[in-house]
Amino acid sequence: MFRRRRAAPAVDPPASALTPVDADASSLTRLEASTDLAHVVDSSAELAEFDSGELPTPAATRDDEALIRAAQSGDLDAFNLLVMRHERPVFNVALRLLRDVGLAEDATQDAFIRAWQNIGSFQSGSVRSWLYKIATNRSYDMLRASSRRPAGSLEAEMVEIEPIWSAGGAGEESPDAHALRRELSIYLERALTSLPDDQRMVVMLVDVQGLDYHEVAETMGIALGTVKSRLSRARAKVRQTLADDVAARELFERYLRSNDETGDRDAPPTTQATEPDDA
Amino acid sequence: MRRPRRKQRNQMMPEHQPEMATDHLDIDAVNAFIDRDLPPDILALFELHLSNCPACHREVLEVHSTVLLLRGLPQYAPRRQFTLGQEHARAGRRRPQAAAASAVSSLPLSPLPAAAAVLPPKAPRGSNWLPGLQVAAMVAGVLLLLISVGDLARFAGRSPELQLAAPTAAAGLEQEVAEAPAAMPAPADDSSLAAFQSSDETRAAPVEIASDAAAPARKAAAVETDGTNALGGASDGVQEGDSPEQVNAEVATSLPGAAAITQVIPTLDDAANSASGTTSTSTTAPSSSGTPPSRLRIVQLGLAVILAWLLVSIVGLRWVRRLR
Repeated sequence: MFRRRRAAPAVDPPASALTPVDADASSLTRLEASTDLAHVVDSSAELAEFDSGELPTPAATRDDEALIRAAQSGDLDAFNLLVMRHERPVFNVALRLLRDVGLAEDATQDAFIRAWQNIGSFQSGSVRSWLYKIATNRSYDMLRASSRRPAGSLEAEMVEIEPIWSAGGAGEESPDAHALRRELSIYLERALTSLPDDQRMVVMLVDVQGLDYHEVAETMGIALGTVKSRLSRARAKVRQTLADDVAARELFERYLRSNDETGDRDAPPTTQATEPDDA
Repeated sequence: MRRPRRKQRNQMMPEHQPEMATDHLDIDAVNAFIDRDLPPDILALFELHLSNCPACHREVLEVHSTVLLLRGLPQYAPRRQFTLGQEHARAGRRRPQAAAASAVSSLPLSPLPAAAAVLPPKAPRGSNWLPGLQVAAMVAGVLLLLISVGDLARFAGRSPELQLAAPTAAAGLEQEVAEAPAAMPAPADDSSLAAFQSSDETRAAPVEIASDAAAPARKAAAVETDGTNALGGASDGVQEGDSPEQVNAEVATSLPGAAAITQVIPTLDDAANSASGTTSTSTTAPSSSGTPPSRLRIVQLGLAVILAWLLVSIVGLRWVRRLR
């Protein structure tokens, strides 16, 4: 069901280390069927060349910009390319907010329809943030409408659809750590559920979906400092939740050890953080 | 998994080295460190502290592991795609207008041009019959009208007793015809039908009072009885208003073709007269005796049936089309 990328076009955004799934693979293969989009891709390729070396903007952002400009002039195919690129992460955000596959699908579809209807309202910034904002608003609307809090556990819902596991957070990962990570995911999902809405949203967008602080601030309409402080508290709370559960704590300790053993290269910070800081 | 003692927030930036060396790191600083969000100068201090403080090293390791775990949570593949179909290509761009138009068309008394404007550019299956049906209905209506009116006008001119019957019976039929196009939404481009309708109305005007009394004739079988009913009310109504001669003259002059058409059907003005007489005798007129229905009457009936069927078809098609 998940097609691998055949060839990487010049404008293909590099897969982020934080987004484990190759979200663009299917959209790119589908893109080849569409002839109308040649000019879009071409123009974005030119754009990419033009911008290279000026700003450290990710290639994906430039591509999104080109696509949304085309969509704003009425090109539905360009918009559908955006949909294909972002539908999976948007769906995952909705899913983790709503904890219901059917509702999450409805919210995702509604979000894209609204985005298309209000395509003119996009001015500038991150397309991804804009889409997430519409999707999260829609998800919260649906939560309110169904007057149902996301109390259910994700794993009950998730038997319906297939999880896609990333290769590993920061590169190499021992098989042991990988297995532990999968075991721990249940506890992590529970911990996310127990977070307050605002904290869950931040940690979900930053850590689970891989947005940067600015995009999250844009998505949620909050200040950058608020994003950081909420993220700190959310992570601390998740860690505390893991520590409070006996089984989870034991797994977590083993995971810590495996991280410690497999290298300071992989995990911490010290060696990585010595690199010059872009931000 | 005890949390190490924590410095007060926002003081993780030690002004003096000694404090940094002895106190622990702030949670925000730890997160900033993990996210590589620390300025280089502070980063140096941070790392210095880390190397000397196992507790803080442990905390950084735990938070970082938590972040790795969160990043490693699985993504879920949706069961379907969310791309928008081509129907959104039109709807998305012209949504406000379309919404307004459909709101208008959903009103029961929508103006005809608006209803026509809402029709999708690509006609659904079956609706290509619609123009043909409309033309056929128009033709049938005109024929029926001309035959009836011409017929009645002719004999009305002859028999004074039936002078009243002529315009009112015609009014009954005219009403049926005039009402039918109103019931079905007329296409905006069908100017001939519109003209037909408007001329009908002017003709029917003198006997409006009478036609009020007449029930609308929807079924062919009802045509004659309606004519008869109209007669009863008409004898009062018309007398109050225009003089019979005036009405007759108007009918006769405004329908030059009617006489011709009744001639075309080679019957039997006499028989027609007597048949009309039969229908009207029940209320007002002294009768000529009970003669069998003429061929003209049969033609009228047939036309009325066809017209009714066409109208039902047209209205049905319109209705189906609007549902889409």
